[in-house]
Amino acid sequence: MDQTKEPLLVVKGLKKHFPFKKGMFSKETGYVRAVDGVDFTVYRGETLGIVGESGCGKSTTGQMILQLLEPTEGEIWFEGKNLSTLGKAEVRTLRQHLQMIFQDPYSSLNPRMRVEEIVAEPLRVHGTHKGSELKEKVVELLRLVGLDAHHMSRHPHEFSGGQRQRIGIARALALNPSLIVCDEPVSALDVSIQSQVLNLLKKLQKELKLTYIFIAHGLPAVKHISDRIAVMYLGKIVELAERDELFANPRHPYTEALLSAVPIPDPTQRKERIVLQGDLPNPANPPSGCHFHTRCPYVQDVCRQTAPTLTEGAAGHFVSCHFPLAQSQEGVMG
Amino acid sequence: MEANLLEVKHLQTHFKTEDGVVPSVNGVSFSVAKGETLAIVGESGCGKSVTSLSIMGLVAPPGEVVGGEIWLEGQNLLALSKKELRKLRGNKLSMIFQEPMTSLNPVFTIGNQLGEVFRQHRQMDKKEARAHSVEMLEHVGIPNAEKIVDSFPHQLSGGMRQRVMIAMALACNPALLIADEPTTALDVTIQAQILELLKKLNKEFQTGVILITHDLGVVAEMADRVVVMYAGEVVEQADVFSLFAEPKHPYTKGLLGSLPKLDENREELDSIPGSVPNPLDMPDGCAFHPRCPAATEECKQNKPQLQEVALNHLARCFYA
Repeated sequence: MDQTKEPLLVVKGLKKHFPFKKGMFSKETGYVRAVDGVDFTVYRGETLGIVGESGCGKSTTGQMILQLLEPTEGEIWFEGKNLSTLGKAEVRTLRQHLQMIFQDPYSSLNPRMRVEEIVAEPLRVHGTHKGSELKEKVVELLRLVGLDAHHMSRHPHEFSGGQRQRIGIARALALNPSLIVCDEPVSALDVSIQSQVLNLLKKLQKELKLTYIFIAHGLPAVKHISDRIAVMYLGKIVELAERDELFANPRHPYTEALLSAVPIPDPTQRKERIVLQGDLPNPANPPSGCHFHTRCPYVQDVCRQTAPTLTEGAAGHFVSCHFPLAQSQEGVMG
Repeated sequence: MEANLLEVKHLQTHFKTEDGVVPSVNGVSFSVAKGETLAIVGESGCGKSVTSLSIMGLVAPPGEVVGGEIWLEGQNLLALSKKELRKLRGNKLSMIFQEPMTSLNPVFTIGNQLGEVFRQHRQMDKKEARAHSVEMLEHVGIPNAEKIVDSFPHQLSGGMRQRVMIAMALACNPALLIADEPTTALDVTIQAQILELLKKLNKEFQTGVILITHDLGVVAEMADRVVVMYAGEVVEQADVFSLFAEPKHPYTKGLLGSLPKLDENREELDSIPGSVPNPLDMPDGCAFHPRCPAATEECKQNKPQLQEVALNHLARCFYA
């Protein structure tokens, strides 16, 4: 990335705790710490990938950025403004530049609306276009995502999954957003369609100078599209680095295991993998110390007691581990 | 040729809908040898799951097996009565499904459901069945099996439930196990655990496995041979190494090219234009021609047959 990188989104100490209730008087008996202190910056024009397994808090993080969930703690700065201190009207205006693409193209489009209405809705709500101008804009947006003007009068059920995802993308682009949060945008699609959508997202990013947060559990897709990648485990970022650096030099044992667990589509590369023992702990009752210590193959006493913090090792490579793995060029155990 | 464990010949399974007949499986043939893992790959609607349900005898109306033969250890499954088939299922022939939550009964304990297999097929009493259940759970790597045997499905995690399903499927040491997307609903690190387990059990019991999946990574990891299906037909069949090294059918080539890979950076992925054809309105000629980059006039008019294009490598394409 170049020197003149400008932060578009800054997230500081973000937390979301969901209370759960038990008993007849609905007392709050505890919290699910879905997101438990997350910090990162997204620079203009880049794609930040967020990976992790179910329950790691990646989607909750995305929803807080989009103001769909209110954070329990922490700050979200977007285009230089702290969203939590702004009034409703101001947030609404800023939200135009902050859009989302959903996972399920079947449930995220209103089945009773025609494509034209779906794509025009954000324009209408924010009153940016009217009449024939509105129609022109919709046609332009559909063309941009590889659909055609004659699709406007159809309903979502007449489209395949990949085409529906294109409609969702056109809707997200309507208000000229600067940041789009893509939450598992290809995981519901067939293999041959996934690459179409990934290519489209890359093309649009170049043409429209978009910034993406790409949330997914499928590592190959995340690697393909991201500039930098954050790995989450149980509500925290355990590692964050430039894409190639992360894949060449994973420094957190969880990242190492995650990379090793991905089946490679090449039978000549069958390998001994690092198989993590056990399941993801319950986020309502996370392990003491480092959240990963119950499954970590290199666990030490200190890991059970003290939680490590996310610190920068090599430039731009953050890791949260008491004993990060050695960098390969040094070849020494850290 | 040595006698195969399973031999499927020209299988045809059709669904009669209001809008017409959907030929979900349209003349599919393949075989599985003892101890072999055969992967069936394809996208949604290609007929891979209906093929497995046909083998299990579980196709429900409006679906019906309308043609072909399915031979398991010399027995034609399609000629068996419902009762005979029921004796076979869970015994010689078993299946694990994608979603372990919906395939376990939520109101019975794990021990009860797993024990049922032994009570039904091995005529054991309750006590024996329970003891065997615990043993089976330990075998598939469930810690604390004595306790888990009395839990209900909702008390277990997804990976644990899938282990229970595997224990149940392998309880009677079946000759053939059909695994329909066994890891699709699981997280990557849990998927790795389950794949290792399936490999280990496959070696240990010499079970023939049909692995149905859309994930080519899982195929490369697990399979000995691969069948690629498109629109109800086999379009390519080969051993796993030839298929990945030298795919012959344009659809297989397209699938492999569309995968983002961890060990390379590409600006753009290959993609297969368009989407799977509507089964009620199949294109003439080769079913893949509207999406094929190399389609010619001939492909539009004539239907290619599955033919041997290299040793033991079949492809359904005029130009393979």
